[in-house]
Amino acid sequence: MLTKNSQQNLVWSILWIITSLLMLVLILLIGFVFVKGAPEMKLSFIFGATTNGGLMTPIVGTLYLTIMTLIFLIPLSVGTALYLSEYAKQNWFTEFIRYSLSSLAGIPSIIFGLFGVALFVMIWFKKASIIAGSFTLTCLALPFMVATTEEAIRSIPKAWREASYGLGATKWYTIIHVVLPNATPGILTGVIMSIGRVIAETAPLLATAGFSAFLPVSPLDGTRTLALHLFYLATEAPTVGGLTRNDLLSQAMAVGTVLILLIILLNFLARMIFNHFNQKVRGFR
Amino acid sequence: MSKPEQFSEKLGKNLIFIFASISLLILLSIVFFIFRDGFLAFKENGFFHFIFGNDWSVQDNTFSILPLIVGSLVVTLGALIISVPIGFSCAVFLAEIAPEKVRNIVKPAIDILVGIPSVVFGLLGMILLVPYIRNHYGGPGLSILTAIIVLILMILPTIIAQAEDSIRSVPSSYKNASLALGATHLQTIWNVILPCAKSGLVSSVILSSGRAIGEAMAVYMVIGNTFTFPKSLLDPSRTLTSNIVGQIEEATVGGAHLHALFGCGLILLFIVFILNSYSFFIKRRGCRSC
Repeated sequence: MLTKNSQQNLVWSILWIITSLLMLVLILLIGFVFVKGAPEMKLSFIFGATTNGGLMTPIVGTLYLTIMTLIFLIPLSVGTALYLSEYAKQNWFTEFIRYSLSSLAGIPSIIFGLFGVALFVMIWFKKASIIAGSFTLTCLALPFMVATTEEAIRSIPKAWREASYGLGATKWYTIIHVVLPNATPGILTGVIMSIGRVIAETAPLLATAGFSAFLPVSPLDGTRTLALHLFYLATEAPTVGGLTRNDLLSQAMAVGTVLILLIILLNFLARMIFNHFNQKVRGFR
Repeated sequence: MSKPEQFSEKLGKNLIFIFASISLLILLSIVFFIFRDGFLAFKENGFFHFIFGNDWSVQDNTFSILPLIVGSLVVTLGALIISVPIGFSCAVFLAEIAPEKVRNIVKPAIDILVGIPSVVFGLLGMILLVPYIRNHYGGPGLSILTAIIVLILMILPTIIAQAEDSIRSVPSSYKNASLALGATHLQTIWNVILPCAKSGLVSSVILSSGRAIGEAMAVYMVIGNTFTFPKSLLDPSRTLTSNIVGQIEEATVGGAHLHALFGCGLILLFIVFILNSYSFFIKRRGCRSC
C-alpha cells in the first residue's frame, strides 16, 4: 500500500508525462508541417500565378474574402450588440435573441455552407462567388462577434455613462463618444478572432466561394482561400503539367506553413490588444 | 436638445435597430432554410426510410442515411473516449500542478493549436497516418481509426483549454479549506476541485463533441468516404459531415439531392441540440448545488 505522499508523487509524475508527451506530439506535428513546407517557400511560389502552381490567387482571395466579410460583419454585430445592451428592454424577446445567437454559435460550420448554397448561391447571386462566400462567413461569425462585442460594451463601468448623461450628453452622443471608444479594444479582439476563423474555415466556403484559380476582380468572381487551396491540392488529381501527387502534397504543406504562421500572428495580436485593454480598465478602476 | 442633435439621436437609434433586425432576420432564415429543406428530404424519402434506410443513390434519386449516422457517432465517440481522460489530466496538470513558467508556455501554445485550420490536421492525417495504418494494420489506410486519431488531436486543445478554465474557476477558499483539514493536494483535487468543476468539465466535453461531430474537412480527407456499414475500425466509412462535403458542389443544382444533404444537416443539428441542452441542464443543476 502506497503512502499518501508517494501516491501523490506517482500521480504527479503520470500527469507530467501525459502532458509533456502530448505537447511533444503536437509540436512535432506542427514542426513536420514547417520542415516539409519550408523548402517550397520561394518567392516565386508564394507570389506566382496560381494557374502555374503559385499562391497568388489564394492570398488575394483570402484578403478579399476577409475584408468583404468584415465590411458586413462589423456594422451588423456592433449594431446588434449595441441594441441588446443599450436599447433593448430586458424582456423575453431580448432573451430569445440572445439564446438563439448563442445556440447558433454551436452549429457545425458545414451547415452554414449548406445555408449559403441554398440562399446566397442559388437564390441571390446565382453563382458561387466572393460575395456569396463572405455572406456565408458573416452568418457564421455573427453569433460569436455579437457575444464578444456585447461583453466589451458591458465591461464599461456604468458610472462613465452616467457621468456623460450628467453632463447633458444624449444617449447617441454617449454611445459614440464614451461607449464605443472604450469598447474598441474588446471589439478589435473579436475582429481578430473572426479573421482567424475566416482564414481557417473551409467547409462553409466549399460551394459558396467558387474555386477559380484566376485572380478575382469583382465580388461576383469566384476565388479560393489559402485553406481551400490546401484542400484542393491535397484531394484533387494533379492538373498542372508535370507535377506528381507528392509535389502537390508538399505544396499543400507549404500552404499549411503559411496558415499556421498567420494563426500564430493573429493570436499574438489578439493577446497584445487584450492585455493593453485589461491594463487600461484596471487603471481607471 | 437642438434640432441636429435630435436628428442624429433618431438616426442612430434607427440605424442600430435596422442592424439588429438584419441579424435577427439572418438567424431566422438559417433556421427556416435548414428546417424547410430538411423536412422536404423527410417527405421525399419517407421519414423512416430516410433515417433507417441503407441506400444513397443520386441516379435513382433515393436517399437514406443510417450508415452516415452510425459513422458520425462511432467516430465522435471513439475520439471522445481517448481524448477526455487525456484532456482532463492535462487540464488538472496545467491548473494545479504545473509551475508558472511551464503554464505560461503551454497555455498560449494550446490557444494557437485551437485555431489551427482543420484542413492542416486532415493533411497531416493523409500524409502521416494513412500510409502508416495501411502498412502496419492493413486495410486501405483511409479508415475510421484514422479519422478518430485525427479528431483526437484536433479536439484535445479545445478540451484542455475549456477544462482548465473551469478548474481554475473553483474558488481557492474551497481548496484552502480542504488543505487546512489535512487532505493532501491529490485528495483535494479528487474530492473537492473536480466535483466543484463538474459542470464546466461536462460542458467542455459537450463543446468538443460538438466540434468532433461537426468537423467536416479533416474527417473527409482521411475517412475514405465510402457509403457502407463499417465492420471494423480499419474499414473506410462516411459521416454526416463528410457526406455533405463530398457532394455539396454537385448538389448546387438543387432538388432532391440538395434536400437530402439538408436532411443530413438537420439530423446533425438535432444531435448537437441534444448535446447542448444536456450541457444547459447540467449547468443549471450545478448552480443550485453550489
